[in-house]
Parts: sequence; C-alpha cells; structure tokens
Amino acid sequence: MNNYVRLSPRWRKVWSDIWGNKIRTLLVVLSISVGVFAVGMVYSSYLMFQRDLNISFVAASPANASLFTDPFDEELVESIRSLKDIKAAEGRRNVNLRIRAGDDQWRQMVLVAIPDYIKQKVNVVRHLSGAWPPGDGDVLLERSSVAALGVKQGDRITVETSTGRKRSVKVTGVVYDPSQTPSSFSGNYYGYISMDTLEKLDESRQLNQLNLVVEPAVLKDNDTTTIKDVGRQSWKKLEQGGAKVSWMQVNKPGEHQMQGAINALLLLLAVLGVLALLLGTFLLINTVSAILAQQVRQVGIMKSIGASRDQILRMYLSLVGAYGILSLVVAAPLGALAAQAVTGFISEMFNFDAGGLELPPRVVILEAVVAVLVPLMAALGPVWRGTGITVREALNDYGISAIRTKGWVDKMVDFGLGRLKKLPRPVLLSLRNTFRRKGRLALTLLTLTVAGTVFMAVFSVRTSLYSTLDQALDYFHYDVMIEFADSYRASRIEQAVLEVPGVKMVECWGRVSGRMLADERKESETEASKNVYIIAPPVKTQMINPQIIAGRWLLPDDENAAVVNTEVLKDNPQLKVGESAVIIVGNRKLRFTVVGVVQGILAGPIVYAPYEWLAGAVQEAGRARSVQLVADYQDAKEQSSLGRSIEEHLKKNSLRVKNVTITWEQKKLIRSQFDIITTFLLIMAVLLAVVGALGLAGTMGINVLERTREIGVMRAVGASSLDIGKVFVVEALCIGLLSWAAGMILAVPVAVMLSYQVGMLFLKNPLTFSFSFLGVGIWLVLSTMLAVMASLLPAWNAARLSVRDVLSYE
Amino acid sequence: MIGKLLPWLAAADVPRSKSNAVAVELTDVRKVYLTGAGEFVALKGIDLLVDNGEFLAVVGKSGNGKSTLINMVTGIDRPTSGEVWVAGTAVHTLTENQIAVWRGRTVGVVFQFFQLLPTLTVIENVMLPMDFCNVYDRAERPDRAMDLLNLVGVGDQANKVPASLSGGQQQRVAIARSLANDPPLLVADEPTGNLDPRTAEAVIELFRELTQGGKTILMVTHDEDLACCASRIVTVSEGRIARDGYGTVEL
Repeated sequence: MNNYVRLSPRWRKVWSDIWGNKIRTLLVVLSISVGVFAVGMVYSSYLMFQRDLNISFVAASPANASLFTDPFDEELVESIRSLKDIKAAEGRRNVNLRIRAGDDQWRQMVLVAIPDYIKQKVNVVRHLSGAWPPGDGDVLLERSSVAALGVKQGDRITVETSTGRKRSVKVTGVVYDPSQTPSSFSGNYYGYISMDTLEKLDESRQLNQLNLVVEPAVLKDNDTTTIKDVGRQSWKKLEQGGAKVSWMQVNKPGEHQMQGAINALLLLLAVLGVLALLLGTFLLINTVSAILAQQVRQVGIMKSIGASRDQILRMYLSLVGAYGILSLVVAAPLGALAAQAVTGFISEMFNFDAGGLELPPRVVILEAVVAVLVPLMAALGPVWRGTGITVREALNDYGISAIRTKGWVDKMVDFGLGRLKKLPRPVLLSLRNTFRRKGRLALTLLTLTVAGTVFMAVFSVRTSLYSTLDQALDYFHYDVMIEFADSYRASRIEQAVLEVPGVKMVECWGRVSGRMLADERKESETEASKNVYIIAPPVKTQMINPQIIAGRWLLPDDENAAVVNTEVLKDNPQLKVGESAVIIVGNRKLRFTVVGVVQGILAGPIVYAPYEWLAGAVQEAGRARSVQLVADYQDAKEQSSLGRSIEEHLKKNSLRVKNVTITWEQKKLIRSQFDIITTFLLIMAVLLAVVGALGLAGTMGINVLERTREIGVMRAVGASSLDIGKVFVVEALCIGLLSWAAGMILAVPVAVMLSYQVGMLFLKNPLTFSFSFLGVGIWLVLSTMLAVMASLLPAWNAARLSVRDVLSYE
Repeated sequence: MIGKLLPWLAAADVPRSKSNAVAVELTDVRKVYLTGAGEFVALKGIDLLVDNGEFLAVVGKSGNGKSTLINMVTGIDRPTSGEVWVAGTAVHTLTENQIAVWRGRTVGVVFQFFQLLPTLTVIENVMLPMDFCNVYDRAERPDRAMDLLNLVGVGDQANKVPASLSGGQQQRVAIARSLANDPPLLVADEPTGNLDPRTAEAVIELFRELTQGGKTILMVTHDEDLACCASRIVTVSEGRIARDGYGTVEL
C-alpha cells in the first residue's frame, strides 16, 4: 500500500506506458538515440580531435616553411639562422632509396638523416623505443612503418644505394614523426639515420630540406606574408650558396599541413550530425503522434473522471521526457565510444596521438538538450492536439476512422488507381492506405527521401572523386617516370632505357622549378612570388594529353613559348595569352610568352615550355633530369617490375637515380587516400539509411496498431494471414519506391553541391562531377529491402491477430 | 510548472455553486449535430428537473437522444442552446477544462464498456479520480479505494488488471471509481448493456442502495425491466421527453 503513497496512480500509468509496451519504448528510444548519438559523436570527436591534434602538433613544433633543394652544406643553415625574424632553422636530408625487408620484396623508403637528433627544434622527431640517437649503420623506423614493413627491432634491412650497391642496416629503434603521413595512408616507409650512415649509403654528407620557424612576435594570426618573406630570403641564401631550390612549402601558423582534408572530414561529420538529428526528430513526431492516437480513448476516460488538460499534458510530456532521458543514457556512452573510434581513425590518418576517451560536460549538455528538449518540442504539437479532444470524441473513437472530405491528393490517387483497375483488391487497399494519413506519410517519405538523397549523393561524390583522379592521370600517358639526381645527356639516358626489354617509347623531359614574378621590373624579384614547376617535354610529345582552355599547345617553331595550367593562373591572375611571363630559375630570369592555358587537375602549378629552348636557357642543352616511358605491357605488375629493372640497369650505367614513379602504383595510392573520405561518406549514408528504415518500421507498426480493427474486419470476411501481411508489405514497398524516386531527383543537386565542397576542401579544386547510377541502383535495392524488412514484423503481428482479439481491441 | 508558465491553461477553478440547489435542472436544452447529411437535431428542447436522492431511469429507442441527454448532464457534450444546471453549477457556461475538474468532483460517470485504464490495476483505477482532483489525503486514498471496492464486492480483485476480471466485476470497479470522490450525482450510460441479466440485476441493486445513502442517480437503459427498479422513469422519443413518471410504469 505504501507503494501508492510514493507513486500516485497517474504516474503509475505513465510508468506502465513506458515499461508495459517495451517494443514501443524501444522504437521511441531508438529514434531519439539516433539523433543524440550522432550529435554526441560529432561534437566529442571534434573536441577530442582538436585536443589531441593540438598536443601532438605543438610538441612537434612544426615548421612554418620548408624548402626542398639540391644538396647543400650544413654551414649554409648557420647563415640562414642569422637572418632577421628567424627563430629556428634546421636542415635534414631526405633520400628515397630501394630497400628490402624480411620478405624478398623491394620497396621505396624515405631515409631521413638529421645532423643532431638531440638538439632538434623544428619538426621534432620523438624517440619511442630502442636506440637513441641512431648509431652508425643503424636505422630507426617511424612507428607507422614498423607494422607496414613487418620488421622487428634487431632485424636487418638491405638498402640499394643510388649507385646500385647493396648495404645492410640494422633496425635498432622506433620513433614518432608527427610531420609524416602514416605509411598505411601515404604508402611511404620512413627510416631515420645518422649522417655517418648517410655517407655509408653512397650519399654526400649534405642536406636537402630546410625547415624554418619564424619568430612568433612577427606573425600576425594566420597571415603567411611574413613567413613567405622569410622563406624567400632563405631561398635566395640557399641559391647564393649554390643549392637549387625546387620547392617551398608554406604552412599556415597553427594549421596542420593537411588542414584541408581535416576540414573536409569535419564538415562531413557535421552534416551527418545535423541530418541524423533532423531525421530523428521527424521520426519522433510520427511516433509521438501515433502514441497519442492510440491513447485517445484513455485520454477521454481520464477526462471523464476529472483530469484537467494540463494534468494530462504533464503526463504525456513526462512520458516523452522519460523516453528522452532513457535515450540519453543509451546514446551518450555510445556516442563517446564512436567518437573515440573516429578520433582513432583520424589520428592514424594524420599521425597524431589519440588521447583517452573523454565525455566533456559541454557534450553531455548538448546531448541532454537534444535528448530531452528536442523530443519535448517535437511532442508539444501532437500532445496539445491529443489532449484537446473532447470526451465524447474520444469515447466515440471506434478504431476505424471515417474517410474525410477528399482533397486533391485523394482525387489524384483515385484517378491513378482508377487506371490500374486490374490490380488485385488487396493491393488496391494497400495503395489507398498509403495515402490515408497524409501527414504521417509525408514525414516518413521525408525521412526516407533524405536518407536516400544523401546515400545517392555520397555515391556520386565517390564517382566524382574517381573520375577526377582518372582525368588527372589521363593527362600524362607515361607508365614510368625516373628522376635523376644530376642532369645527363638525353641521348645517353634514352639509349640506356631502351636497352631494357619491354620499353615501347621513351621521352626525356626537362624539369625545373622557379618563381613566377608579378612583372619584369627589377623590384619584383624581391617581392612576393609564387612557386611554379616547369616541365619541358619535346614539343611533339605523345605523353601529354593537354586539355586546352585558351590559346594553343606548344608548336615546333616555338622559342620561349609557355603554356600555363589553371593552377598557375589561380596564383597569378595577371597572366594572359599573348603576353609575357617572367620566371626566376636559380639565378636566371627567364622571359616567356604565354601561348596557351590548359586545365590543371591535381597537379599543382605547372608551366609547359619547349624542351630545346628551356634546356638551352638553363645551360643544360641536350641534357635532362627525368625520363618517362611507355611500357609494352598493359599489366600493372609487369609495369612495376619493368620500372625496377630499368632502375637497376640505369644504376649499373652509373646514372644516379633519385626517384622512380610507377603511374599505376601512384594511382592506387591516391585512390586509397580517396577511399578514406568515401568510407566516411559511406558510413554516413548507412547511418542515415538505418534512421530511414527505423522510421518506416515505426510508421508501419503504427499503421498496424491503428488498423487492428480493420484487420479484424478483413479476417471476418475471409482474408488469410498472407493476404493481411501482403497489404502492409505492399504499402511499405509503395512508400519505399516513392521515396526512392523523390530521392533520385533531389540527389542530383545535392551531389553537385557536396562534390564541390569535398573537392574544394580536400583537393582545393572542384571535382569533375559524375553522377553515380550505381548508387541509384543500390539505393533502389536497399530501399526495397528496407521497406520489406520494416513491414515484416508489423505485418506478421497483424496477421497473427485473431478476429476476437481485434474486434474487442481497444 | 505548466501552471506557472501557462496560467490560463491550468486555470480550472470552478465557479462556486448555488447552495440548496436541485440535483439536475435542464431548461429548453437543444442539441444540433452537423453531419455529412446535413443538420441532425438530437434534442428538441428538453426541460427536466431531478431532485436530490432520486433514481432516474432514462429509456427510449436507440438513436432517440437518451445518451445525448445525459451527456448534457455530465458535461461530456454541450447544448446548442438552453441551460444545464447540475448541483447548482451552470455547466453550459464552463470551459472544457473547468468541466473536467468539476465533473471529477461532482459527477461519477459509469459507461457501458466500463472504460477502465488497461494498464492500471483495479485499485489504481479507483484511486485515479482522487489523484486528478486532489481530494483526500494521499495516505488515505488506498484505504478509501479499498473500502469502495469492498462496497461493490470486488475487494479481493484489487491488485489485478482489468482484463483479468469478468464483465460484471469490471463494471463494479467502474462504479467504485465513479464513487471515488464521493460525488452527489452518479450518471450511468447503459451500465448493464454488456452484462448478463443476473449481474445486471446486482448492479441495479447496488444503485438502489446508493440512492438510499443519499446519492442521485441518472441511468440510461433500453431494458425496461431494469428501468422499473428506478424511482422515476423518463422516456425520450425523437429528441423530446415523451413520458415522465414515478414508480412502476407499464409500457
């Protein structure tokens, strides 16, 4: 009896509504949880991500600018360090060599030599285990390369030097280098060696990368002008010292070098969160309306025995609030766990340390708002209407609702169905039922349509990413590219390459980098300027497939002609076809006439110039620094092994090979990097599909409950269980197909927008848009399957009811 | 909380009733329904006076306005015109919300289909009106509900849910519930319509006992035999009172 003193009967009723109908409670809690989960996951991964990235990032004291050059001596670093506004400057040496680990496979490895491991100040490499610093003849591996290579501490690695000799080094420890992209994503392996070891690998005791940190006092927020200034001064110093600079990379202060990709992922996460919340809310409005619809009679009874409207309002709002709290309890920990998984994934991708699981108070507060306030807002309308019903209306609710005055939608449906007279009657009933509750239908359709739209759009983004990649790689038609550490006579290179069986075609190109000046004035030389990369193929090259936007491609008589790509144009908007351009290469000022503009895709700023002219202009007439070739075979594996045998052959002929690039391997690598973002997109699409399916299942479940009496009537006039089940399955299918069609139409603009955003953030370039019909097909199959699955349980429930059950049902 | 935020919503103070009033007084009550087929006049000017302590049976054929008539008394439905005074309160002037609170304290309603809340136990169903109208002390309510259940003879079923009771037992629970707030007036719409004759008689007997205790009872029935147990019989035909007689009436 004391029980009743603690909890009065009306709250017992609320309790029994929650506890007594577990399936319904589950459905409501699920629909709220989806939104809470998504919001919590997105927000806490955002926070955890920021926190962890920052810690790793600051600890590494990242460079503001890095210059990549020909080898230079350590003394040069000393003179740069004395430049104004430079806080720290450090040099290191990167060499890309072939190595062989435990298995017999040859791979490329980036070997980094740092003069002083103990006194590092920029892009700090941290010691994790084993020896420190690396001893003579030792190599320390970056942590992400250890597993990818499958080697243990104490194992030996064989390194093939640029002269073709084989040396053995011992793995003695593991380090962490936050500035490198992990092996699993970059496809590169990283080893850290001492300068002594570098010499033993047939390399000079010199550096080829300069990392700079600018005095924080002269930095203005995110402005990179000062950094570029300081970088350019260092560039000059290096070139005065005889080291040709090939590239300068400027990082925005405080921004990770992959900030664009990070922003793209965060954007996608945010879109996911908002959409899931939105769909969860639709679902909730439907479910709460349905609960109220089921309880009309009970509301009437309570009113008849003296309950006022605010008492009943309070009961139902408390019910919804209780669902919300329950959802919070379910979804908050799950959201935190998912956030940890997401952060872990991103940390592996961007090489930072993922910190521990955390559930910050502001995330919990946001989740609580989403879990309790959003459902209450969603429920307010239905509850207000439901409690406003008069006792007479409530008690007259027989469970078979009368057909209301027909609107234009009904007329259209009737007209449509009239033309389909041959359909069996139960199917007609399903179709008509579909349109009976227009509000509910609209919300269910909206939920499923949004899910479908995003799903199909995501597939299009994926296709667009791939077609952009294909287009970019279609630009260059060579299978293998080899870069040399020095320039060699072109005829010697060509001859050596053609001696290797399997080479179909070979071309020597000039490759050199420079700075594009704003104009020809002397003062411009010291002003801000942009990096460009000059590629000088033979004019009649068959390995470039340029997409000309304006002007023309290079012609045989061209002297100082230049074709620029759109990336160059973006950095230097003053350039026009027919006018001149000035590029500083080394200490030479080259004057070009721009003759054409071509599309640039994923290639950076490139200026194409005729080989003969450029080689002469940089005093390397008849010589080249790179060779590209087309293989006899189409097979990818054979192309790789061809690349390897050419490399060996060239080294035997004393040509110092700097780098070998196999086009298809490059393609595979970029594709796998693209897959990161498409995997993310797919997870997002699947989550939304789950919400959509939940919505449909909820709607069908409610429809069955609401039509229990109708089912009884059908049974009484001889409908079999199968007939009744079919009515609901066909109805769900109808909803599924409608949403598929609507989603398909909406998916086109959404996909265009999403591709553009992902392209701009991820690649700094819009993607080549391509609509995915595969996605449309998959969603058709999926939405059909979801519809059938979502309706099976309710249909089975409906078919199980006996006539007596349903006619006495209330 | 709602009371503070939306005072107009929670405002359910019922105007004070006139003292020494008759139990029910209907003056020229008309009720018109708008249906798809046009207007339907359910009540065509009803005048009715019921004294305290009367046991009044309303009889008549289906569709002649019996239920509409007593829905006017309980405030479940509103008259199109005319006045409805119940225990000194002008029901036709109250808002929907005021009616609910007023009804909870003044009128006990018994339905043909019992209308118990399926998810609550029998005793909880009986306690529910006390809870809503906040009458009696919280600690007192279970005992009072138990007393009422014993009074109607189903005390031993107190902790079961309605679905496990027979029809007659459920109707007894419904009657106990209608008595929960000790209202002066009991209104029953076909209370025996779903019961077998023996149980029906027992229910009527219960009503008689209640009138002897001072309650006024209005009962709609189409069973003339049962109607004869009432102290007064009003026959409704086509929206008008066709006959109004005391004692045993032959039809």
